[in-house]
Amino acid sequence: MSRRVPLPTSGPIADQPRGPDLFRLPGLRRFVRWRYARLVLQLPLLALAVMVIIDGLTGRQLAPRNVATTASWLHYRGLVVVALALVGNAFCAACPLMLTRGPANAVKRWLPAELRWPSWLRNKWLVAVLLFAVFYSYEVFDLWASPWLTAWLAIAYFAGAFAVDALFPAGTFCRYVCPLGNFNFVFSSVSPTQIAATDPDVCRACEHKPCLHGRETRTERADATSAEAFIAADEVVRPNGEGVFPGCETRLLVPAMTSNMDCTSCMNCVRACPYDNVSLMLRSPGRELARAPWRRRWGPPVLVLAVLLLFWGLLNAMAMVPPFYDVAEWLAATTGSRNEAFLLALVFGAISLAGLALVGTAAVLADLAGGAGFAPRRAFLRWGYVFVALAFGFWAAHYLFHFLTGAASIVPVMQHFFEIRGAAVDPDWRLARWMPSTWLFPITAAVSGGYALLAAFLVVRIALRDFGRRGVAAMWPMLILVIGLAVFQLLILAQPMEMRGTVLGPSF
Amino acid sequence: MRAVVLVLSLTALLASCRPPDAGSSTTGSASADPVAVAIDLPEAPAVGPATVVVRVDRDGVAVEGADVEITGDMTHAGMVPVIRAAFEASPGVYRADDMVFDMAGDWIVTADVTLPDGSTTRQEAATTVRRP
Repeated sequence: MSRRVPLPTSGPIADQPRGPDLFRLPGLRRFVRWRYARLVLQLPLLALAVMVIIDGLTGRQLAPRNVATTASWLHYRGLVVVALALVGNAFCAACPLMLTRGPANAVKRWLPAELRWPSWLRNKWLVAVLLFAVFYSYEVFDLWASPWLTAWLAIAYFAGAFAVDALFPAGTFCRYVCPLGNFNFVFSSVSPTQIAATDPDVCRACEHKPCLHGRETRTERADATSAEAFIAADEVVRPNGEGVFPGCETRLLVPAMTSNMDCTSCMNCVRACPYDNVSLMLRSPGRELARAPWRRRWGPPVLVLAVLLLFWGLLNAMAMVPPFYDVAEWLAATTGSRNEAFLLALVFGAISLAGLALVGTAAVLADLAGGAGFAPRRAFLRWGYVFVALAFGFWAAHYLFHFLTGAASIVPVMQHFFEIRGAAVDPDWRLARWMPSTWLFPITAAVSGGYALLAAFLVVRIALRDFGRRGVAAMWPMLILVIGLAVFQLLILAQPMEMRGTVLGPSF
Repeated sequence: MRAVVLVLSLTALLASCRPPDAGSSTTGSASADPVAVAIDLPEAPAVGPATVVVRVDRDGVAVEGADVEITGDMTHAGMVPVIRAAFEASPGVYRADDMVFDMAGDWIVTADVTLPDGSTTRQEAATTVRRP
């Protein structure tokens, strides 16, 4: 089957990084092209997810002693940001939710027809709403303190992935629904790697585009069983076995990729490419954001989401420091309500609107200073990328703080899991911190400050790119906002931390 | 129709689910018959040292000679617990004067009691530690 995808007949197909190819590392390409590579990565996380659900539902309901809360809120989040900063979207690559795909396909056979994802949901607005729901629930229901609710959240993710992929085309859940994955998609824009075509001319000559559509490879054409493009085994460069090799489920064409958005790092493209023409290129962390990568593909929704992630990240951290509780008391006194869900809704709403207004105003001022005139949408689409770097830096600093505070606690928590189920182990609860607490602020401040510098660099790049000489004037409104937010981030990180289950007074 | 019944049944099933009992209250007391364990913090705890008192009785009679270990856990994963052995201050009353709450926020105080006959019981109490 041939579904032609037109590519330029000459010159570069897309602006892709040309750094060193990480697949040249010994053994890596061979591993990634292996049919079961992703499964090998998924199985450990599936085992952990099963432990999360079992311990969350049946174990001791004490967050620091339970696998559900420890693995989910400490280790998953901490390791996600480390992976995004150093490697890429590694957690989507190993996502155990995708193991529901088999049962979903089985159910799909019993359904009369595959449904089409509604066109009005083919954007990132639903993801933004779901991410808001997760962050809001996290604060209102103290998810971090409840193993039971954390286990149900994990079950909901599995059920959601199964249901969406059973009813709709594969990849719908990842692209349009999954809050975890889309958090990773947004922030993998600052990752130092990107999938790219090794030789664009090979892609140009490629008839079937198996990286996108998949392929079936057999020795004999008569043995083919699927609708995928048939490519004979002897035509495959560096053969990686026979069978059906699915293409990209989030509909990305390797030679046209200019962004990590929607790339789950599943490496289907690497396995499906019969010419072994897919690379994992090293790039600078600011490369993607400096090129306005979402302007055509996703536009405003994803940039609004990115800006909201910055301000939700600030709120998520502020909710753990004393000044926030003072503000909450003031808000309760002003509104005459001590309903925490209501007060948190007010705070979330206020910080979301204030954040968008602040960024929008600075963007418009920058455009005006550059001589571009008053066009808020265009200004937002130009400058919004700056805040992705700033947001990632703060989420990374916050998650890293918790991770470094208690990383080693996973050892006694795992021991406890088996102890309460009859194993003869004695958990050593003194294990938690990996380093002296005096190191935490310098490390988190360096992370936050480092990405603030990247944000400032992006401001300068965008200003000079779009305004030439007038860029010197255009950059200042954005630089002032970036510096102000960076200082605010450092002030939050410098506060003594307080871990409370309510924003109003003692919770017990 | 069957789908509606199925959805309603599943919803009812999920709604009836409850987390395992954490056994927490402001001043925790366990009545794991016939032994009762009560945890008391005489002063509202603030960051720093605090006293925790545990009373153990059986049918209203103080239980002497028990081993009582008191643990303070924050409600957030990854925090090192504070573990102290309590001494018997008076018959059936066990006290730890050197509990150190090192961070403001929500804490769960757990008393693990080993009775003279070797049997064990546990009681939890929740408290909020204030800023100094």
